Amino acid sequence: MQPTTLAVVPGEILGLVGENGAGKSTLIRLISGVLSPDDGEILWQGRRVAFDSPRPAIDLGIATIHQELEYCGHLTVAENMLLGERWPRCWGGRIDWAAMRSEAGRRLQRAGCEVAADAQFSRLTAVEKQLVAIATALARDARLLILDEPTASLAAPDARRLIDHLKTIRDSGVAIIYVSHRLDEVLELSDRIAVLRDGELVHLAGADALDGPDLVREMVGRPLQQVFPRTRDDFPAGDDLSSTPDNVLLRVENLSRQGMFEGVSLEVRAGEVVGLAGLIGAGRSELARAIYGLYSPEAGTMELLGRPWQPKSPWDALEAGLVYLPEERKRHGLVADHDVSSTLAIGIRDRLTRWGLILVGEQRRRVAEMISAYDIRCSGPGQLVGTLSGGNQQKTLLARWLERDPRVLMLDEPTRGIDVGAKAEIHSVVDRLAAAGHGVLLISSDLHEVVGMSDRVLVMSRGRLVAECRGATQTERDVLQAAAGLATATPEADGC
Amino acid sequence: MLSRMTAPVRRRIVWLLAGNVGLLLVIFACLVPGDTVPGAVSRLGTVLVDTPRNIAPEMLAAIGLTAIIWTGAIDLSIGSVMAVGGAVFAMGYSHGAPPVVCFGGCLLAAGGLVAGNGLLARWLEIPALIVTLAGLAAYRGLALVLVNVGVPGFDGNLTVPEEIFRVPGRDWAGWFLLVAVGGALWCESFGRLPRLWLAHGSSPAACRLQGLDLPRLAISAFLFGGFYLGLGGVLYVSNQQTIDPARMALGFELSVIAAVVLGGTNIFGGEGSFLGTLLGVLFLYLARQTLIYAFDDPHARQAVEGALILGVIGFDCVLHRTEHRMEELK
Repeated sequence: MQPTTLAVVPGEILGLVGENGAGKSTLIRLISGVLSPDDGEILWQGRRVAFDSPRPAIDLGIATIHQELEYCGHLTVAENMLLGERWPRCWGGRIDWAAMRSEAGRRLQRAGCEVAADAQFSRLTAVEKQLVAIATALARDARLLILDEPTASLAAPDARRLIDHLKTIRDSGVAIIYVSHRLDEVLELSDRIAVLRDGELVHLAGADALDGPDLVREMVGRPLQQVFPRTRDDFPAGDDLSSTPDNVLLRVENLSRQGMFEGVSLEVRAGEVVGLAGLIGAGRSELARAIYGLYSPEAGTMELLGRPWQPKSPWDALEAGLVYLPEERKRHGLVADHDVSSTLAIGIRDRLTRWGLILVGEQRRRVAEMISAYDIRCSGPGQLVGTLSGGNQQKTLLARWLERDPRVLMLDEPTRGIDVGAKAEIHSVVDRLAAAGHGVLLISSDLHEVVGMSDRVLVMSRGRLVAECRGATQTERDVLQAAAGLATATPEADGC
Repeated sequence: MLSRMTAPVRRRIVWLLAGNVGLLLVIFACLVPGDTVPGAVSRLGTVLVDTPRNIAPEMLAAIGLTAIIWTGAIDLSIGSVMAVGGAVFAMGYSHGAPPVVCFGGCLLAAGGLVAGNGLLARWLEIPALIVTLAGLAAYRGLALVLVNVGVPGFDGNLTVPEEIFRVPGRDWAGWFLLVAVGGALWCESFGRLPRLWLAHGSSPAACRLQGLDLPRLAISAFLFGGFYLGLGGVLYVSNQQTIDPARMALGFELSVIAAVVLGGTNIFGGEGSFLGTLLGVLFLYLARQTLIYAFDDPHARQAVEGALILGVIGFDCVLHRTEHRMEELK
């Protein structure tokens, strides 16, 4: 962080935006006591304060909800809510569990959160976890609520619910610092917007004075010409997919797995980007993982490049030219303690070894080429991948798989939680891949993205494919309606 | 208490309850062929009466270790720690100290070493696994040094013929066990600390962000574990007629860890219950008793015991793998 002066007042939402690595998280950590500043001071209600841990900040009324919620999954909601507080007791020093549940229930109710206080925390949905975190913060009489990417893992309706909730909280006089890469949300919610770039506050103004492109320009320091670049031709010529039967790279027929997805049929053609939309829990990721060989489907058939496809493991998929970019890159995509070099090389390990030994020189050369070709911004191949920004981590993962020259790519939330500049680069890569004849299955909860990037959008709801949107019906409204179960058109029907 | 347990732990408890009843029936079935039914019932009664005395040390140690494992740590040195407790007991006994001093020394030595492991892990910021792995050899060596230096004329083992020294581990073991187990279950049901230990093991980051003092929490778990292990050491020592620190409680840690894991405690922390641990210890004991009747070859018994542990845990895991996967996806 460079020296930064920023103020937030009661009843205000201050939007805080910037590219990955701009210093947003550092600023939040400084305010919430996770980090201590080298220099400068924090004034709280006019009084100078210093935090050596999160506890004093919490006690003052500064509540922070981090992007990746930290909670004890095996404990109940009530225990998580009261974790750092005194628990009610009855005679003999016993914990009064009934009083604890009722206290937690009261707090949840006050925050408008309909979650059972004795539910196990890990069983809650993503939005419920967010709401419980907010209820916990508000119950401690928080005067300043800091939210870091609260909607990053939420589907559109859940995000809308959270945003409406935050407006109510703001109206009750609580100050909110709202950090998000979703600029439409920031513009809608914020009273003022602060833009950070390279650890420096470069812009601070009322939200009315800015629009999307202005904000992007301030964030990246240059105008972004195209959010969804399109160098490829429209696919296919006209709307008749049956005119291109030979181009089918991936075909799935009536694929089912109990509790995950049921009777799903879809095709991905060469040169086509097929969007897969739906709410959280609709079964999109589960379907992609089954195609990738992580789960065995219980019914249905698959074909890859014209041949029957029954993968026994992801390795079969990689060898056959099918790759999958997982939804949670930190948990399922990366080993945070590995360096960039080994993260990239592991994708092509079979091509970098001879007689079981790594060809060190060849690996060094290929890794350097990949870093340069995919513009991975790192201090060098030895930098730990966990220390890269989200966008560069995602580019590293993409580069790892693209080096295998796959025919079909399944990208699960490829731009989640990454900044607008990296997002545009990834969109550009997807477009180039499709233009070069690859087939892409793009899974995204960002409706703007899935509609803008895809040639057609398939919509899943409760494990079933409920609609196909293309042409004139390929709009965010149509996709959202179908995902919410308001449209029941079958994929065979023309449009939603 | 049951309502706050996670579904897998509750399920494991049900499995173990059923398993323990099943094993008792198998023991009974093994006793009937060579005896009349009333005779078999009487012999089964004897097995049950002897059970508290035989399982007390392991059960107390398992409760202590459960608390430590809940925080995400582990103590691998408990067998060697018991040997040190035995050595301190032997030193007191050989110098004519009264039983209460001998047992007190044993409890303090064993409990103190476990608590010391916790402090060492915190101060040096080394995982408890490493500290106690080192302790596994170091404490066994310490026990041998203590008896060689502190017990006049020590020749490999020390016999304790006086009945008075065998009272806690033989005559009072059941009562000790009842009070200690009751205390642990009370703590789990109505105490805050056990829930915080689980929280520590589940997500240290969440605890830190909520302002909890993690080092203090971890050390409190080691203190609790040390007390229970020390108590287990006293009962172990007083149930033996001879003290042999070189072989005393050898491999004890493995059977205790097996019982804890069998009881549904997650070896990486954050999940489990004392009740499950108690049932796990009982299951292993009854399984061993069953195997005595079923197999003459002691090596075969060991192999079958291992297979049984694997079978119970494996069956439980396989049956509920889909549920776990769905949970993971959620």
